[in-house]
Amino acid sequence: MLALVSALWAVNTVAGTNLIANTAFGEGNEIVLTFAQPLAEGHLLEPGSYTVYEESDPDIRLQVTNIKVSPDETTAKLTFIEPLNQSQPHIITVAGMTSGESPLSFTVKKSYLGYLLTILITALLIKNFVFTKYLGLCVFMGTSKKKETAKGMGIVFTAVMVMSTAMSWLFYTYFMVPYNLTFLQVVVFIGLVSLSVQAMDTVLRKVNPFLFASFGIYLVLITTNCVVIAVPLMLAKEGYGFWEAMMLALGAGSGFLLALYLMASVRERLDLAQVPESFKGLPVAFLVAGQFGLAFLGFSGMTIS
Amino acid sequence: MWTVAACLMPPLVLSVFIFGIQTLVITAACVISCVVVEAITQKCLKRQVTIYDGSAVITGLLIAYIIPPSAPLWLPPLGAIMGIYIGKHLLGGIGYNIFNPALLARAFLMATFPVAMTAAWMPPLSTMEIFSFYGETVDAVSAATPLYLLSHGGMAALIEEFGSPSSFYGRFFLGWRPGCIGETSTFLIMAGGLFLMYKKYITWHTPVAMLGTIALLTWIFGGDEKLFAGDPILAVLAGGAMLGAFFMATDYVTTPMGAKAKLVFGFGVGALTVLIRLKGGYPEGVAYAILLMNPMTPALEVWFRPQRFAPPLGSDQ
Repeated sequence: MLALVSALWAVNTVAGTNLIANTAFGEGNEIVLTFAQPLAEGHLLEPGSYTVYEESDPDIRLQVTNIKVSPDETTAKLTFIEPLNQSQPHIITVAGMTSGESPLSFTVKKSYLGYLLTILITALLIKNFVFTKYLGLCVFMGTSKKKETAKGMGIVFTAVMVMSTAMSWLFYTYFMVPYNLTFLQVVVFIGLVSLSVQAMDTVLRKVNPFLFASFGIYLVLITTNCVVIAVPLMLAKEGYGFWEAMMLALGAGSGFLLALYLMASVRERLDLAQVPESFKGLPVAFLVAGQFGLAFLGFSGMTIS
Repeated sequence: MWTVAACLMPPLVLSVFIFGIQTLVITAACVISCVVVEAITQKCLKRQVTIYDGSAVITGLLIAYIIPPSAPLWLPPLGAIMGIYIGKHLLGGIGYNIFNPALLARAFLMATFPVAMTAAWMPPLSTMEIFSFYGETVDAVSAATPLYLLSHGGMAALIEEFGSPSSFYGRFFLGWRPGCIGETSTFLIMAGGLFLMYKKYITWHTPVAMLGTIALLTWIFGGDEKLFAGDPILAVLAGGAMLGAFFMATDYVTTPMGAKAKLVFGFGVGALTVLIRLKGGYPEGVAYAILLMNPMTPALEVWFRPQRFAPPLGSDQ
């Protein structure tokens, strides 16, 4: 064993390459390490020699309970007691191993693009704002009578969402947090939302008057829509970066577009049905929305990584 | 409609020998509650009572086939009210429902009574004591379904419980495994479905697209460690893939009519099933996948409208 470790050291210092070729998160409580060359034994295989913590929380050490090495000895799977917060970068230090002068230490983090995609898909489908959180129902019910209106509203909604989220993020990060004004966030976010809705209103009045007329009151009602205000509040709470915030806004907006389009195509079909008199119009729309919610329960508990 | 109901009978007969005589009781409870709910609803809404057309009977049979074999008897009426009354008649009656009533009932029961709906899976009987359910001294015997094991313990747990793949393929194909009443016997379900196809009640498009997608995507992504290591045969045999493909994704009302739209529908159901099985919180996703694709039907029919053979509207010819 001693010979092997010294041989590894020799390789490491002579060739100047790192021992670890690749690192990645596995299932909930796992980290997978890929070595540059097969390792039979050594400190890398003893759970006790690992020190693991989240980059933002160096004081909380995470305990490795088990290490499983693949048959060809090039990958090792570290298992932890508790599930890891995989959105945070984790720093791993191995006692007894050195890389050059300093102790062997490396960072495990998610690929950023994959992380952005996860946020997008989660907001779009898995936690669809309309069908799993029941937000934004007033505009949803009001503009889902016709497919054309629904499509237009979905696109306008997404545009408003992205615009107001970008402004909210900039304002929140560079003004409210430095000056400790975060208690004003609801008021400020509503102001920014109404600004972008007003801009949209002015543009749409000139560009597409027919669509504007078909929206009626509901275009202005976006101002008080709960999805539009929920997204800035969520990103303030989660401490998202700019692109993460953009993905959340885009996902929430296109999720709303999807919900509106599906609902509109269903309601156009329901117009031909003999719905009982007392259920015509909104009541049956609520019934259908509830059934959509039941179907979207299939996504509950889903984690995409 | 009665032909479809007849095609659903063989799995029920077999389930008596797999799980015991109580499967008949629970199926009867489901069918009777569906027919009663349909009759009462149609009377109250002053519509023609159409319980003899068999559609409520099929809904009842399908509800019975997708709930656990030893579920309590108060579940079926609740499911029937959700599926038949709220899911079908309030939306305009037969032909106008958006979602499959039986699947809607199952999703509703899963959301409201998750324990009753998941804790009652039974192991297949080892001997022919089909009355043992009513004579048993223990409160309940439960067993994990193959997909539950696969989702929580991986392939190793499945092999430990059921033996090696080559030995359980045969048993799963015939139906000797824990699961819902109607989904266990792949062979009989497939025979019923093929008969319907032969009689031209259903077409091949949706089942082939759906089962093919499930097998292909499971083969690619279903492996524990790397790509292209999944088990496509198990993915089609285990769970409700067969029942869903032949009897639910081919429903006339809630799925599209055109051939292209049917292929897209089947592909969507297959992809969502694999997504829910591999990444979701539930071990099985066929029911939710079909429910999620059902409201796509009106849109799919518009997107894949068959080509007009007549000259375009407004032309002189």
